[in-house]
Amino acid sequence: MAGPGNSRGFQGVFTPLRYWLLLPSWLVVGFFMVAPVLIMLVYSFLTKEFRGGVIWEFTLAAYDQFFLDRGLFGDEPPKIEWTYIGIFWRSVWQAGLATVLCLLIGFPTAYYIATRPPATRNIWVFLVTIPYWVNLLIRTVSMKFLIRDNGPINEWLLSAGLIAEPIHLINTPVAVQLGLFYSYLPFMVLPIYAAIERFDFSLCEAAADLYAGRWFALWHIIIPNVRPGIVAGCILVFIPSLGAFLAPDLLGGAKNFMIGSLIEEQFKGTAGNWPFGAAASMILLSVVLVVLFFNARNRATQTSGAGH
Amino acid sequence: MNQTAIDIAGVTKFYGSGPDAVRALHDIHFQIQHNEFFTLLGPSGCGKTTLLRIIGGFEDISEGTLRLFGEDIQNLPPNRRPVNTVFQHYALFPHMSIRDNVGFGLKMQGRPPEEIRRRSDQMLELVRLSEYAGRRPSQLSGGQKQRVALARALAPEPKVLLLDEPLSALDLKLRQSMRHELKQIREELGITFIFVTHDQEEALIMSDRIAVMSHGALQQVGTPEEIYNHPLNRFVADFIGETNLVEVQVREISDSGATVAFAGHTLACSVNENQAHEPGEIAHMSIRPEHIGITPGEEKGDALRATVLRKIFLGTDIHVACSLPTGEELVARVQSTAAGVAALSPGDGVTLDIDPHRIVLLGD
Amino acid sequence: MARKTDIRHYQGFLPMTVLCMVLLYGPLIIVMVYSFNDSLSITRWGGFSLRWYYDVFFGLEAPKFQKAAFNSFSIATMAAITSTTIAVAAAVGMIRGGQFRAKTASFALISLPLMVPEIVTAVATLIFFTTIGFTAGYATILVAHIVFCIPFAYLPIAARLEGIENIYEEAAMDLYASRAQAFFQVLMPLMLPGIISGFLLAFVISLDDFIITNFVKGAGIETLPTAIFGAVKQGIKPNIMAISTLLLLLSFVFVTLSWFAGRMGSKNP
Repeated sequence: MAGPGNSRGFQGVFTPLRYWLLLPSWLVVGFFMVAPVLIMLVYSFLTKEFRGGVIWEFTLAAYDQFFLDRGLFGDEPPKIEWTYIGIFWRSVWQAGLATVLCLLIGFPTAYYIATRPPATRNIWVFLVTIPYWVNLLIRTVSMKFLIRDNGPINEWLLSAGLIAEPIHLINTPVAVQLGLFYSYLPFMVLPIYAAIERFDFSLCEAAADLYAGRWFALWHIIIPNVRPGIVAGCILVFIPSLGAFLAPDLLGGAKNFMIGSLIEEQFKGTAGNWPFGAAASMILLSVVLVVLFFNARNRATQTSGAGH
Repeated sequence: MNQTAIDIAGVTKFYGSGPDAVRALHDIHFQIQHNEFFTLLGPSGCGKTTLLRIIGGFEDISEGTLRLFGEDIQNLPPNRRPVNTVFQHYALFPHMSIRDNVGFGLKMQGRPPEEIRRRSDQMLELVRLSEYAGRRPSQLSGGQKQRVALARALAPEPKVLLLDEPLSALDLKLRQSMRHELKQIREELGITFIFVTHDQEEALIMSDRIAVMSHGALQQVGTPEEIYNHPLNRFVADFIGETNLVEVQVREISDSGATVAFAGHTLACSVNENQAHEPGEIAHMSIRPEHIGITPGEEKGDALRATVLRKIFLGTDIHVACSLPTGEELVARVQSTAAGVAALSPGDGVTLDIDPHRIVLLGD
Repeated sequence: MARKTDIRHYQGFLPMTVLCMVLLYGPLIIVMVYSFNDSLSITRWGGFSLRWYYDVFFGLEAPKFQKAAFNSFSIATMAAITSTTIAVAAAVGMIRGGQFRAKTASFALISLPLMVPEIVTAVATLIFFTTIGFTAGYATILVAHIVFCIPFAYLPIAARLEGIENIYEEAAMDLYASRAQAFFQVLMPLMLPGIISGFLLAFVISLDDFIITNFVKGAGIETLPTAIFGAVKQGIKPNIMAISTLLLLLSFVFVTLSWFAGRMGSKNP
């Protein structure tokens, strides 16, 4: 402030207007996104009212219900309540597995596409982009249609005599996994593709010149260099999978609840429990924020390390 | 008639504020006359482009004043200054035709459409691109884009035209012909040009006057001859043309010049105005290679004797690097046809002859 | 021969790519094929027919789907226009704003709807509207969609703007354009491919949204996804497959448009 003169450095044509230009987005996102999340936080500490809704009385009941079991009448010594933690754990596990599967298929695909000549490459990217734009509900319904007990796959396998009984997939964890994997696969391919496309392959030539094998080069040269793309892809698959509602609801049925379905149930009809749903949402949000925080910190240390 | 177009007084520019502030320009003073081809010359990072952007209105001034024909313009935004710029990478609007590009300034000034059309066509004629009026910038070559940028900046009849390294993206042949063309157009239109370049040859060829800058400070302002023949300091002497910078001891100071001791000899030389030297002080001297004569063989008397180190053939000229008995190295530039020079080879003894009117004692 | 020398080639990556494509397209193609199935039983092939498409437009459930489609498209149009406008302003402020203190925070804020799981956004929005007493319905869906679409519109627009040097607006201002003229006559036309991509993406995202809409819509109003979801809950009927196929084709048209918008940009500077 007390610096020489009052120059603020380069003033671009639109620089003086920057706060006015950003104001609408601050207002809209602040008012309709940040404020709602804060109110949701407040709600998670309120007392539940029957028929949905809340009574404005502070209580920890929602979190208590999530983590602790005090018996049917609430008078027993508290034990850990495994039901909801179990649902949460299943969500993390399913989302993690979906991420790994997407990476296993997505990386080679992204790599293959990125190393095509430009004309062919554009066609491949186009092909990956289309499912990304297709309605998620429709894609999940398609998957449900395909793997039903009397769906096309089972019909074909039966009529070909390859199986005697229909393969029962619907309403199993496998079906949920299939749905998650299928839903978010394009989210993995596109960021990795973008990273590999920018990768300078003369590094691999240099490695080969210095007697490195191809797989060695893949592991030690290419992957470390495109890691930001891989991490971005993993986050883009993991986070929506964690909070997924459609795949577990349509493909998993009641037995394969994930956190998304649990939350949704709290806000439907009279059986709902808004504070409990708000608390479960806050817990989900905290996990996501922790993931994003570590990613941001990881990136910050990486860039400062590269600055030498 | 000698009106001052631009008056820059005490201009200082900081980037950032507080202890981290970086000083880009320091206390710049000079005036540019109306109708002058004025060049800001210096290596990259010397502040010449910053100064040009200040005149154009794209950067503000931390301290000092900027006047255009006597009027203080430092608070006017770029669109209110009767000054136009030819940008380094042309900045032609890719979504407009060539004619619309040229007419853009006039349109923004609210001139009537028929005038815009007439004036744009006139400008395109001036830069000989009339047949390209309907094309897009992407369909033009680098040299053509350059001329469109010039026509666009000239169309609104600015009082001063700023040119930010406009020739740097062109290849050598094109650059040479554009130098010519720019000079011609300026003479035809009679407006002030302020030209930024890092190419000293370009500056010498084109300018009426040159301001040499380094590290955000003005080193010297003068005509190309003044700058070349009477550099004020080591930086200017070294940056403009080729020179031998040697250390000397000042012997005597007189009204007409000075005598200095160099390599065991006493040489007479000129001293720039306003430059104080004391007898006994160690100073630097600039000797242009072309002001050193070479005679094969070692003459007697107190002539400057030297040994040939190497010879470089440059076409019409030859560079001969010689070492003096005291260890200094001097480079002489002589015509290839000069007597005996062609036969010189390393190790030969020669006698050097330095023109005393042409050597200058330098400030720091 | 080329494979031996192409350092970038890895054995087995092509089959993986093909597998990826089969996985991505298999279910979609099968649904498309079965939407033309004449049979009432949705799994037995009974010959080619357009009867389910006729059913979508003129059948018993047609009025319901038409109303839902109208809601979906009108909301998507308004949400995309509003969020794209906000995103364009935000992108100019961010990319052309130089370095300023609130920059990182602003970017975090803009991308927040992308980071927070949709179900959390849905819950928070529902609770918020309930608290302030805003009646659930068309308007709540619209507001929620605008917020949710901002980052999707922002990203392609900002990416495009980052690729445009600031010399163009400087040149415009040097040539006597006001800030508004420099924006509308020079910068905005240059940003147009990004703006079109952002708009299309926002439109599709709004059109596709199920979870948030399902939470905030209240009773008595449906969009296409909630109507389809409701129908699917009672079993997949052939008319759903016909609607799905129509929406698929629509998505295809949108990607293609967005694609050409990007192309149009790359030919320029």
